[in-house]
Amino acid sequence: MNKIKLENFLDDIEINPEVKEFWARIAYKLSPEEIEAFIILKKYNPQDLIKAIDILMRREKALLEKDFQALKKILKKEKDILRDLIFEVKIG
Amino acid sequence: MVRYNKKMEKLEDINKEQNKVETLTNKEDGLIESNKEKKIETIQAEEKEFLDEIKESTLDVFHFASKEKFQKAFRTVALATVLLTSIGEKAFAERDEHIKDPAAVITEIDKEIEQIIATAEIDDEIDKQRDLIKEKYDQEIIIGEDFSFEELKDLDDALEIVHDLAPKKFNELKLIFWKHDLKILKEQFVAFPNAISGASELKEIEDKSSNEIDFIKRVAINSNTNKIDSNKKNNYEIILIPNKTDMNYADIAKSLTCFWRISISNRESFVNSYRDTIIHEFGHIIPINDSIDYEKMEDKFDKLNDKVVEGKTINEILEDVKNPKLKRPNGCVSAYAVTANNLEKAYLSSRGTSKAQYNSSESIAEVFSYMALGFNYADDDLIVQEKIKVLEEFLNEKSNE
Repeated sequence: MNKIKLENFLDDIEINPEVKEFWARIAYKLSPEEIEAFIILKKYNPQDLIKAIDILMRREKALLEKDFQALKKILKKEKDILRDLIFEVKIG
Repeated sequence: MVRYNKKMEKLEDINKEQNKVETLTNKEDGLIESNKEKKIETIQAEEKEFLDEIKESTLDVFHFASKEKFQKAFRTVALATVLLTSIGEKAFAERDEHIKDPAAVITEIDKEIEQIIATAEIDDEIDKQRDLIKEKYDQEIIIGEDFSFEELKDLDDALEIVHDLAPKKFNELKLIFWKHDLKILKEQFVAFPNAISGASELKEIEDKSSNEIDFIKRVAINSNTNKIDSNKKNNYEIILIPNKTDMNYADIAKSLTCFWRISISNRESFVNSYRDTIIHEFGHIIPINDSIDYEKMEDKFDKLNDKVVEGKTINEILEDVKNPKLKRPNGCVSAYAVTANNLEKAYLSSRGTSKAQYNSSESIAEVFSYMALGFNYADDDLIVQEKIKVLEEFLNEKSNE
């Protein structure tokens, strides 16, 4: 394994450089379970991956600025996305 | 100078006032900061709780949902896991670096997904096979958990064979097939006639039982108690069935050469031994379900078996079994009816001179198997012919009920 591979994990996805910079910063801090989850999303639902990274970036910014209102909005968004998904899994 | 001093005092007072205001402002700022941190912590705790719950409840899907839902479940679990990632320098500072090759991870995940989908397909097949068995017959049939597709296929084949031989008697049965995983029972199939009143009693016994042995004991006690209670004649029969993969019939046949049932003996291959042992168990259950006629039939078998024994010793009887051309005692379709009673004695050669005994219950079950499987190797044996006639009469009689 070399570092380049993990760093380049998002290279084939069309995303802005800010996201890639964020990824490079977090990639080697992730647990194996988290890496697997990122890989599953990239392989099967790349749009989810983009949404998820966007949420993580916004969360990081909100934490730095101690902006709890922004964190509240992020949580609401997470709930909306996941509740729809779980409805499909369990009932749909 | 005095003037200067007064000015200085005034200035000091002003400074003190300013300091007071500054301290107050700092305190207020501190309070605001601390409030913010508390609010952030509360939101983060709520977020973690929500995402954990989503993840856990989605993982349940893998236990029961159809395979079409697996992909969605994977998506949900993966998304929740990604969103659970702790972000920020402080969070990361506590972690070690985890370096893993994404290509290797992808391969692993692909394998896992393939395996889960393959398992789901097998589960679908098992469910279909289970439904097929239940739908085929117009009667109560309960099939327990953990049967493999192959085992259910054998069960299906066995039921068809038994039904073809004795449709009326078969249709009177209410059946529970229960897979056991007890090493202590080894390869044993066990039939408990008239054991359980229904699914709710079965569940009750399961709940009360501390383990599988306890469960079987309770079923056995029920079966014995109900045997003498004429009000409980219409109960379910339970057949305990072992794991097919645990069975090595070739070894059973080798190690217990005189312990020959039709399902094992006289075979070039043991491919149908599992199915045929289920058929043997029906050779117990069908007759016993009709208790009055069963007693009459058992008496007739006892008399026929007496003719076979005619004062012979166990060793003399077993000579027939060792005879490669016969492989069964004269008057019997297999050795099982005699070895079932005399196995221990037969192994203890000093007692091999004891008078041989027959087990008519096993004798009936073996003749039942012989007829159901369409054998004819003992058709020229007059006593076997008599036994077949007695059993045929019983199977064609109308039920007492």
